[in-house]
Amino acid sequence: MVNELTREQQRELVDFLKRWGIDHPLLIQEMFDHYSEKALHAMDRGLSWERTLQSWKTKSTFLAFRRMDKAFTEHQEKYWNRIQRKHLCKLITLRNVFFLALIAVISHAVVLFKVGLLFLAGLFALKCIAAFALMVVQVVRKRTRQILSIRNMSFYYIFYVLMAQIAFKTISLDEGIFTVAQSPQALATFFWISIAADFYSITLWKRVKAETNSLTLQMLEEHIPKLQTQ
Amino acid sequence: MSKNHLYKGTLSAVLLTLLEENGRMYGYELSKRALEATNGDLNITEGALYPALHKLEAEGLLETEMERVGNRMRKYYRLTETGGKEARDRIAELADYAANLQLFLKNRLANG
Repeated sequence: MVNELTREQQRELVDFLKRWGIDHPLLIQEMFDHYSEKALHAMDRGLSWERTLQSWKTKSTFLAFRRMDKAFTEHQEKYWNRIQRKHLCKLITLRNVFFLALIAVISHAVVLFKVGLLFLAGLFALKCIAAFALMVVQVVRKRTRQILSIRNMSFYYIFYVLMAQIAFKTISLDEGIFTVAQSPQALATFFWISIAADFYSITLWKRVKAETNSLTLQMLEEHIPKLQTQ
Repeated sequence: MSKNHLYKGTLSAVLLTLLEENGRMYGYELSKRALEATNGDLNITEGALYPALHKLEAEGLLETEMERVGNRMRKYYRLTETGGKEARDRIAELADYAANLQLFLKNRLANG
């Protein structure tokens, strides 16, 4: 009983499949397995490899292979289109639509330049106030004072003060109309500092969250059992 | 003599039935089992078998998995949940058809 085709026979089989009209790699893989099995059974019945292979080389095989390949390619395209549509539909959520709309509004404002600067200056002024308020709250609160140092918060505050200052310097009010008073370099600096500040706030936020979690865990593990035993 | 033409139109039902009975199967196995189950009447050619399987897969009635066998990759087909329901519906449909055909032939033979 023959268990497997030789390397040479396998090579000839792949060659036959390709020459007789199968192009798609996935279909070649499937047909390779099918025809290997078919050949092994034929050889078990006493047919030689050469005769088996020769018996397949007919016009009807060629036409069938071409038809199969065409149908398979069409199905594959439909399948991938369906998957793509499914994933696209999943992406259309209320949250994503909201963020896309927000990005579109901000981008539009930035393109309009003057309005963009005014918008961003206002936005960062608010951020600056929020940062200052947050710093005061964090320092006053005993628990978070352990996590964030005054230096941490000062950096945070300085970032936003700097941003607000640059933003306000790049625009000026001239006879009731806002005009751009500074060069594009100032605008670029402003954007880079803004990105750095946001990055720094995310880092701080993550740190506060991690430390708070660990303090809560510590409290659960140490203080509560102590209270229970008292 | 091959009676393949008589099975025309029932191929997908035959495939779904075989998969319902046997769980997962690969292409060559399906064609062999169909031949055995019909006493050699239904010889499914590759040109009919694979397009039918791929169509059922594209319709979501079959799912596939690949497995290495020796130095080859083998593609196994199995019914999805929808495919299972569809298989049962088609078997019932086919049974109805066979019963009606049998009745028709019985009457025809009785009338000479």
